[in-house]
Amino acid sequence: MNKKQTLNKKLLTWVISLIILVIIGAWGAYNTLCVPGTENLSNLVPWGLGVVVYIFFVLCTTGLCVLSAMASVFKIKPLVPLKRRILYLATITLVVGLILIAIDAGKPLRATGILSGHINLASPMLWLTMCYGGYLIFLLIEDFIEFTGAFKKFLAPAGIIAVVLAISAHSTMGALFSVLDARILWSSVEVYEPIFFIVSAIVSGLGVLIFTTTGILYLKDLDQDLRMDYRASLDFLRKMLLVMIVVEGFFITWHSIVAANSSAMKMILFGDFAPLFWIFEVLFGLAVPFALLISPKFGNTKSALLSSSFLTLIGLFVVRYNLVIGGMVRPLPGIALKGLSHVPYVPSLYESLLVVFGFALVILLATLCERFLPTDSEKKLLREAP
Amino acid sequence: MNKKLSGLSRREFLKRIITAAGATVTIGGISYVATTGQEILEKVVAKAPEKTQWARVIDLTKCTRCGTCVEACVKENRQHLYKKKSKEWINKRYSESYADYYANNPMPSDERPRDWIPSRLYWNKMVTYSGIPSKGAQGNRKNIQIPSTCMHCRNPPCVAACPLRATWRRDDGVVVVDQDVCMGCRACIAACPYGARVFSERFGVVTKCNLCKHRIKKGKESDELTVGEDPEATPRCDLDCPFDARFFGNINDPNSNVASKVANNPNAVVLLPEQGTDPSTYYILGEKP
Repeated sequence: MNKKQTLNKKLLTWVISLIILVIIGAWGAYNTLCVPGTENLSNLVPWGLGVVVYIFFVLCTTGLCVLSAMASVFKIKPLVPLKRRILYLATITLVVGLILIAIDAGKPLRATGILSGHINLASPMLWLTMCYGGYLIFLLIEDFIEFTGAFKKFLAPAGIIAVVLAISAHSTMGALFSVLDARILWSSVEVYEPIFFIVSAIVSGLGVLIFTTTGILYLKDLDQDLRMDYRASLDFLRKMLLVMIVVEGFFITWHSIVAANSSAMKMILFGDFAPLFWIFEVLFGLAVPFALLISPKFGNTKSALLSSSFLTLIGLFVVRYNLVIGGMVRPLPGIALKGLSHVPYVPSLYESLLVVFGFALVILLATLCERFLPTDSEKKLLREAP
Repeated sequence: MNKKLSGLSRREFLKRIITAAGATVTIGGISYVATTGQEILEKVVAKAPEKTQWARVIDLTKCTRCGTCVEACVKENRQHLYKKKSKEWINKRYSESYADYYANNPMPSDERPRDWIPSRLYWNKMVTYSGIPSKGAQGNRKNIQIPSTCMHCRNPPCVAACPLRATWRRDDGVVVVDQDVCMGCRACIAACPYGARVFSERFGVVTKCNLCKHRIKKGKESDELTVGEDPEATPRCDLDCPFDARFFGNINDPNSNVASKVANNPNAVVLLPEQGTDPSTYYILGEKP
């Protein structure tokens, strides 16, 4: 009893500190949305840190949606105990991602013009907006079915439609970048982005899930059977993450080699972005997690899982940063900059607060879901699996 | 990797995927890569000689880069009213329409626009381009500063990027933005290779040079005025140029000043022809006066 009370007190402190962070972040968000001149953007760098955070979160939701389909539709046994957790995490990251992109747009409510048929079918942004809209609807349907237990026969169809929409949306986002011929980093290898976006989405979905589940093992008072189930799930996720890290590493390697002659890639590999690329993207995002997870014995310890998934997520955030900002700050093909290799872009205070807002909101919502939703009653679910 | 050989088919492939689901709009691919204005002109006029196509010629042998065109555009199009970080900006994005604001605020003449918003956000800008040949297609390539604005491309990548059809190319060749539809996603800014479009932070929408379409309209509606020749019916930057370096008119009319400038001058070029955008703004290269 006493232990429970202490836990609740700690939880309350945790939640209150997160709420404070969300409020601070929301102040930054209000400023970027409503007060002009608070973003360091220009005609050469029109997308900044806000877009990076947005892409990071929709990346996570797409990866989680793939894992959710593996659990609910394809009934892959080790994932079944986690399927409710995967679902709520996918929903939270998608909703926060969409809030962030709405804050980043100048007049977000005008996106409803799509519903009145004001559309340009040639624009990748149109397709990704529609796919994410549809994906949100089917994800909410999945949530409803999973957490209430009603209309169970519709769970698999909703899951299939959701994963199709999520993958379409995310690969279209890759296409959005690669069809922009004016930006050399993205258009240098045009089929690369859509495929890489999906690969890195699965890596981030795995990262989020491993991080959360390991955190739960540390913090929550679970019974022994459930712990065993989660351990089995984590072992499966560890193997999957290893495979996907190798695939991601392969993609990053071949893109770097194929585009190595372009000035944009030189800037990433050897120029001002080199520390971000080599330290965060390669070392923290790929090499260290791989080394931590490769041994079955050490890789399955909680500390190894927690740190490797955290580093993977950091690495992926930097991958997005290098992709969006690196692609933007390269001067346009004809424009010369006096003595500079790229357009100087430093996120403003308010843009940086968007990052705080996004992460604090996701963690806050995840904490509340974990506390109030029946996420751990999966023992029954496991028995249902074939 | 040779982008011309392998990249083009991939791009086509990608675009087909995007437009596959019922898309009837086709994205104009790269139709040709031309280096001189004459080559472009031959192909453009052959396509539709009877159609009016507004175009601009900037003679760099006369232009002193004095910036009068920048200032003229800022005044004419009320860009100096986008004052930065003043209290009146706050929360205006939802309470005020761009069109209303534009209509209700006549142009003050006594203000110095350069003190207001950062110059990178003007429609007309002085931009340093790299690798521009000093004469025609040949000559030493070097960095030169030139007055740059929207090129009003015939194959505009910005129009293809807009999800809401808030921007389009009019029949007369002017690429315009409907500020009452634009949601400020800035995909068009990312797509433009000339950096011509700017995000109006005050209104949360994208704005750009519209070739002073109100002046063109005036010229077309009046029988006495000729667009590009009479002051009331000429874009303000072309009109105000003190060195007679800017010309505006119908490129499809062989008698117009722009058509003759481009046709008779081997040094008339467009910027970044390899981007396949097919601009309607021509530059006559040469030494600065």
